[in-house]
Formats: sequence, C-alpha cells, structure tokens
Amino acid sequence: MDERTPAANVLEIDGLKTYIRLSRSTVRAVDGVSLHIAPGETLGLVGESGCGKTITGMSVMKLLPPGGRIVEGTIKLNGRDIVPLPDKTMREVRGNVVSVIFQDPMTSLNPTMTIGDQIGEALRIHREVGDKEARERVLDVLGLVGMPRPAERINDYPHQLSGGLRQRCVIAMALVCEPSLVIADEPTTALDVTIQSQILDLLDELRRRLRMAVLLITHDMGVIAGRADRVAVMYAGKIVEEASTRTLFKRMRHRYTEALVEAIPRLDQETSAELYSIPGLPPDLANPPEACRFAARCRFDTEICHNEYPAFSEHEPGHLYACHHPAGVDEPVEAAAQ
Amino acid sequence: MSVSAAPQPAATAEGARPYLEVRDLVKEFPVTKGAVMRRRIGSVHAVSGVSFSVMPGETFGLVGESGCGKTTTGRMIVALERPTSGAILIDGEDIAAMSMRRVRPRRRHMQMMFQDPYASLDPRMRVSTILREPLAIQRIGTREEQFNRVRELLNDVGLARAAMDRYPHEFSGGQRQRIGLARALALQPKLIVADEPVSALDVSIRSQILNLMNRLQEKYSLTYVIISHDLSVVKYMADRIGVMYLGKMVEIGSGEDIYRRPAHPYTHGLVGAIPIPDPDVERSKDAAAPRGEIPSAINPPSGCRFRTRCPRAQALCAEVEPPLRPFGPGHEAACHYPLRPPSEPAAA
Repeated sequence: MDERTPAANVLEIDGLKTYIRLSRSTVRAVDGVSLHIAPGETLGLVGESGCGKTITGMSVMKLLPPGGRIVEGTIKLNGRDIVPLPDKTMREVRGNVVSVIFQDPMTSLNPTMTIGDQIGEALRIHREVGDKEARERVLDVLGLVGMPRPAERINDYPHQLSGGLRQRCVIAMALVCEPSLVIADEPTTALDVTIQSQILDLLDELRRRLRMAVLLITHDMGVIAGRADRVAVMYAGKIVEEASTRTLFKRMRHRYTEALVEAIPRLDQETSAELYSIPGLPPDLANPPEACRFAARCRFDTEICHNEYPAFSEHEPGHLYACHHPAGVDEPVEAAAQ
Repeated sequence: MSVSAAPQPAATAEGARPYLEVRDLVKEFPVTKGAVMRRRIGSVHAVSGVSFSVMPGETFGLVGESGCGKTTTGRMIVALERPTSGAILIDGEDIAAMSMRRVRPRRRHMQMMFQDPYASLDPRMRVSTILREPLAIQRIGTREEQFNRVRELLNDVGLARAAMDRYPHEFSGGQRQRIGLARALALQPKLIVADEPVSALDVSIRSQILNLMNRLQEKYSLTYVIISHDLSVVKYMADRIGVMYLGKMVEIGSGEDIYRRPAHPYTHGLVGAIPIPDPDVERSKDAAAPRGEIPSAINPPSGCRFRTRCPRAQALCAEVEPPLRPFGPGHEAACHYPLRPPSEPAAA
C-alpha cells in the first residue's frame, strides 16, 4: 500500500529465559535471548543441536515440551507481550498472527485428513468462513505455494504426496491466515537438495509478496548465507553473535562462528587443507559455565574467558557479539577493562 | 555393453588392478500385491546398470538424491544385498557370482559404516562386545587377543579405554560414529563402504569424523566408497565422484570435474542447488535447480531418466538411453546434449 513510517518490529524478544524442568535437573535451554524481526525481514537463527534455537521458536508459539516454562523476559508480537497470555488467548494468536513450519512434513500433517480440510481448518477457526469460501481460499493458497493441479489435489491425503509437495502443504497451512510472522524450523532439512532450493525460493517469494517476517531456524550455514537478511548465531542457550548476513560472513567476530564456518567442507574451494574440527562437546545446559560457554572448546581462550562472561553488545554498528578475543580485532575488546 | 563371458578384472596402463570393480550392476526389488496370494505386479528399478571401479587406497564418492540407488549399490558391494545381475569384483573375484557360503569368509575384507549411530549399535551390548563380535564371528584370535584388538581399535578411533565397559547410550552421536568406525575396522578390512557417515552429526562433530576417516585411510591403506547426499562432504573426501540419478550413473569425474566442469545437466543443477556458506556466492548463482520431482523408480522414464526434469531434453532423450561418453581424463557423462563437447574418443 502506501509508504509506511519505519515499521515497528513484528517480533521483539527481550531477555527470554525458557527452562525445561526434568526429574532431577533444570535445563536452561534458552538463557537470556533478545531478538527482533521487522516486517518482510528474514532473521536466520543458526546453531547446532541442543543450542536452544528450536525452543526459542517454540517459546514464541508458546508450545513448549513437558516441563518447559518461560521463566523470564518478554515476547512482543506486533507490540503485544504474549508471555502472560492465557492458553485460550494464545489459540487466537497461533496460526493467525504467528505460524510455524516444522522440519518433517510427514509428522506435521494429519494422515487421516485430506490436505484441503487441514489447510482450511485454521480458516474455519480464525476467520469463521463457510465451507465454500474456505475451499476457495484453500485453492488460492495451494496455487500460491505452487501445488500442481490444486483442484485435484485438495482431496488427497498426505501419503499420496511426495515429500516436496507435503512441505508445500505445510507452508500453505502456515500461510492461509496470512500471519505477520512465520517460524520456519529447519523447513527443508528432510528434503533433497533440488527440492530444498525450490521450497526456499517459494518461502522467499511469499515473504516478499505478503511482507511477512520470517524466523528461519537452521543448522545449515549455506541456507543462512543465501536466504537470511540478518543472522543470529546461538550457542548453548545464548546468542553469541548477530549481524547482517554479509557482515557476519565477511567479518565474523565470535570464535564459535569462525570455528563453525571453518568446520564445513566447502564445495567451491580446493580441498587440500584439513578441516578444522571443534574439540569436545557443548556444555551441559543443566549446569552451564558462568563465563563464556564456548571457552572450553575455543582455540583462543585465555584466563578471562573462563572467569567472566563477555558482554553481548554492539561493538560495531549493527554487529553484536560476546567474545573476549574476537577474530579480526587487533586489540582484544575487553583489554581496556582488565 | 554387457559381456556374457566371465568378467575379467580390467588392467590399466600401469598394470595396477582396481580393488573394487562394479560392472553393469542391476538390482530390482519386486513390488507385490495381496497378503495371501502374493503376486508380483512390478519392480522397483533401484539400480539399473551401474559400472565403476576404485583403485586400492582410493576414495570413491557416490552422490545423488533419495531413491537414486546409491545406498543399494553400497549394500551390494558388501553383500548385504545380492544383485539381480551384474558383477562385483573385489580384488579380482566376482562376489556377485558366489554363493553366500563362499562370500562369508571374504566379508572381512569389505565392511560397512552406517549412517545412524543411534540405530546401528545394539543398545544392550557393551562397546567391548560390539567390537569383539566381528572377531568372534570370523573366529580370529583367542579371547585375550580379541580384547587386545578392541583396545587397539578404541585407540585408533580416539576413544578412551574406559569406553569398553560402557553402553552405546552413554556416548554422544560423534562418539558412537567412532564406535561404528572401530567396528568396521575390527577385521582389518581393505575396503570400507561408508553410507552417509556424518549426515546424522552436527557440523562441529562432522569434521572430527571426516578427518579421522582420512587419517585411518592413510594408516591402514584403506579403500573407501563414501555414499552421501551431501556433495560438499563427498568432494572433500573423494578422489573421484560418481553422480547417480534414479538408478543410473549420470556422470563420473574428479571433484573439480563435477563442481567446475559438469557435463550432465543434472550434475549442473545439483551443484547449483547446494547452498554455500558465502552470501556473495549464494546471491550470484545463476544455475536454477532442476524443476519438479524425481519420478517413480517403479516406472522410470524411457530413454534418459532425467529427461522429465531436464531443461535441455529433446525427442531423442525419450527414445535412446545415452551411454557414458568421455569428457576428459577420467571424466565421463551420459547425456545426448551435454553442457560441453565430449572429448574425441581416443583408443577406447
């Protein structure tokens, strides 16, 4: 429509802590995370298994595993803090203002419902539309996600579709109410690469067309490089570095980001040198270290790294990181404070 | 192409003989209908005439998407699956023509490393039992010697001796894959077929396993066949790469041939679809990924199997199956309308 004044962020997470209580311990899965996403922007959230990236996404949906609880922080969706909302109100938010695309299309679709009924369900709940109108809207959205011959496929069951087509249905389900935020959690990890690029192209195009904000959660640095506007790197429950995609890949500062990128075999480079491998394992989040959580696996650790948590702040314009000995910076940033 | 005479191992110019040679390998799985009166209503053409050879100490990579037949090919090489037709020569002997009774003693020379380190280790066995089992089955050494070998293996794969008395669930994914590698090494094989060895692992753990595999290859002069959907991993590890599509080998070449000089449109599309962790490279890509989906292997397309998704397909592609043609030293592709001109057929 008309040119808007600098749009408010669709999502603003501030100081989020989500803990999961187990029988004998409490896992600090998300431990003080702050993020924001503007309309039409894709924020890539990258990290390895168990770093808390999925729990961050699920906190925004308020769909947490048993024992999971948001213990601190705010999550503002279009300016409204959803943390105190009761479950009944959250049901109006989910699928309507924010929706999610999961990794495995087979388990996120109901095998006993036709895809038309599943996609239409959200409409009937949130928009109170009749059957006929719902069907038309479902056909529209199936066309939008590139489903071939939507009028025939609308009565198919998930098992009749290939993995790529199923994921298109999951995307259609997420988009049917035109949410302002889509959380895509490893949306293409279960798919073949040629299908992956089709699905990522589709998400990109829809984001532009519908001006959605996208939280793209993935472990794949390559997917991030091609699709995200900004990147947040997560390690052991905390964001360790955040910057625009180009800045992050060209001038990465945090030693974890650097190690992660060096550990990936790259198709476009000669492969003579041995890959860097990060020794050890991530810390136990039931009992994380007080200081830098990556220090135990870091090549550049010194005493301070094991004693003091490095401040996560904007050391360079638009570039935030939490590292005592950032890569490419001559004087260690914390040197003056010592 | 197929010769009916007993296959003889090919001798190269240097007189060296490939350790593994696969010729016109075919595997069809029956598709049946009915629970009581089982009728065969068709076949899944999993592998349809695949040939390649691997020299001793070489690493050959097999890449392709789901259903391309790469895993079935790997399983046939270690005789976990028997081929419908074709030859598998291991050190000159055709195991495809042998009875299982004759294959069994040769199994110690070819071992498999599996993808899922959570599913491929028996959760009720201690690590020492897991690693001793192959030695016990092949009746190698005394109990004492077997335990010594287990300690040696753990040392080789970088695990502490204390790992012996622990169960698989006590280990992380990366450590389990080390146990899987130790088990594959237990019988001192010459050939290891590794099916997606790092796909289930995190990026930071992946490179540990890949580097370990490289070190062990050097130490024990191993020949590797590495199967993966991830071309970046295969290119890092392999000397030569075979690209498979729907049961066919569409292109074979070095990593640089495949990445920089692909001749087959499928290889080109596959390379273009792989995300590279560099925003400048990613955003300047021109290669569009192949459109559409992989057809069914029960009823594969006639002629060239890629033609239904190929931007260059013409009438000929539906009629005649393209043979592999040379595109340079060690570089072959099977395409009627390749992306670059084939090299002159030398004395073939």
